[in-house]
Amino acid sequence: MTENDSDHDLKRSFDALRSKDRREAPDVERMLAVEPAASSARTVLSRRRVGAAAVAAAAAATLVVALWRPGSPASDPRGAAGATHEVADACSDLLATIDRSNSAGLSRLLSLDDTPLPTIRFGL
Amino acid sequence: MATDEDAQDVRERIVELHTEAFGWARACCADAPERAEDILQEAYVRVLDGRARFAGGASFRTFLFGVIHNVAREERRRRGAGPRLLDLDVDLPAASEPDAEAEGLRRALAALSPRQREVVHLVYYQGLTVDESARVLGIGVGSARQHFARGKERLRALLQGDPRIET
Repeated sequence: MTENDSDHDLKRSFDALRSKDRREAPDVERMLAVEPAASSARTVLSRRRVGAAAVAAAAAATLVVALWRPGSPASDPRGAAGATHEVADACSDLLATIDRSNSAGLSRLLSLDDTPLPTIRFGL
Repeated sequence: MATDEDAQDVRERIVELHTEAFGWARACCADAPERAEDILQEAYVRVLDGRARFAGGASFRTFLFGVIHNVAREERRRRGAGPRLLDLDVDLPAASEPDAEAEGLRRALAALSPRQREVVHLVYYQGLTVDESARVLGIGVGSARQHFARGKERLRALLQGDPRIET
């Protein structure tokens, strides 16, 4: 078989493949009608994991700062209850700040509902 | 900021290219063809919501195909898919019926390395030049030429049932 014959066969095979794909292509309007974040459950899951990890890291950082701050009640063994309240307040403030910056996404993230999330923005 | 006209224009361009884009998505995930539709949809969404922005320069098709390629690559990484091993016993059907011929070609393409398959697909199936294919894949033209030449050679050998296939 010559190079030209072989090339011709290859092109014919690709024509057949193109026709087959054209017949099997999903409806484009249906694809374009889907909400962005619902396109891939895996993507949503991964965004959710990233969001949850960021919130956990921020809360842990706040805890460390609250406990190590000079004059913190945590330095006084008798002030453990006060420290707990202070840390809880700090975490609450932090979450409120994050929530304001991305209210829709984070609220849904924290409520762990199954509504697909939009792109998460961390506006700290 | 994108206007409604811009968004409508992008949408129309996607609709025009849809069947070719579907073929390209299938080629990009030959190891998991059932993922092609999801990959294509994620690429469309990225273009429509502005996460992937067409800045001119190349053609819209080159841009869209580049986005599809990136989505497929990310998806492959997430799945942790490794390189495919060449199946030397690939059983190609007789090329008498068009669908059988198409399936035979698809299976032979799946036996190529991802780069070889992608360049060969872009040139033969999509009618792009090797230079345009390089742009879609984000690689150098010299590298694309090499992948094309080797891919074409291996594909011919596979389709002709030649067992001496370069790995």
